[in-house]
Amino acid sequence: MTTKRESFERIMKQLPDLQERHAARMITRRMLGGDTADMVKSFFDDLNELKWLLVDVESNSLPALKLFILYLDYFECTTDAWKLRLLTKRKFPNATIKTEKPDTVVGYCLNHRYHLLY
Amino acid sequence: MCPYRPQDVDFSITTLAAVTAVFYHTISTVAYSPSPMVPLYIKPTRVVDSYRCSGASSIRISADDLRSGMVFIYLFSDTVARRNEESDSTNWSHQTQEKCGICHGSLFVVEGPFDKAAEFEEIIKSWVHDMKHFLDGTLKVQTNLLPGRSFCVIHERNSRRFKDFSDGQRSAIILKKGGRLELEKDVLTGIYEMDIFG
Repeated sequence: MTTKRESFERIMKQLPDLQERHAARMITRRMLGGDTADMVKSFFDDLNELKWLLVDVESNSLPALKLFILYLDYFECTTDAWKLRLLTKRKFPNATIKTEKPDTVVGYCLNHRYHLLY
Repeated sequence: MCPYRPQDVDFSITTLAAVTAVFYHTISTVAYSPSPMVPLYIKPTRVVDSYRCSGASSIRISADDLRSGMVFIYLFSDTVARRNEESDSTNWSHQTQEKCGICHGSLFVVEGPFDKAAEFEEIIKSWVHDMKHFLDGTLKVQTNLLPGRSFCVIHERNSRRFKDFSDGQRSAIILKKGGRLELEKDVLTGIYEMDIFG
């Protein structure tokens, strides 16, 4: 059974690697103009790892939350990222987090009308 | 390069099989929500309407608003993130199902009165048609009725009528008088969390 303290220690240990990989990923995407299959796989591996790290500490790590927001932005999960920004701001009121509602295009289903819900 | 990214679309975090965590509670009037999202109350009216929800949507349905109407909820997920896994979704382990992925639509809702059930079907068919090419082979076959992924919400007094209408082919969540349903997706885990009060 992992204690909370151990979970926080794991975050402190693993976060720099995750951050470094993501920085490299963003540069590579800019250079290539897109993602390769390997990049997508590595991205989802990191996403899942960070998810469990955050779940273990009940989302009480600001740097980990910020990285998760970057992940969501990276894959254009715009409203998900906005929701997580709001959650982060609620948990860490003193953190500098932009919480404006995003202006998003959510779909392109032409066959029928629909309302978009946030 | 990544071939499956239509432009100008808001994607959403999801689990691969749209895992739904269902929690049952006794009826309470006050609920503490850790979510910052303002919930939208879905109230069936005299006309059929459909809503496309974003990943951040939070919806509530009250039995008292259902009267002679019903609400259809379709939880969508796809397999964009699935790599080196079995292509047959029935072989996915629990761990695999809980892996995060990205989908281009998180859920949609159709609401309206019972006597417009045929319109429901048309809208559902249309949505599913638009989305199903994102699904794997097995999910495609099951896409019209996936246990735990698509269901109707009705008032208990309509349960018999609903059975006649659905021919027992569609699953329903039956709310007691005064009951309510709250649905929201956890953007960290991608798991839909459903709270049923009643």
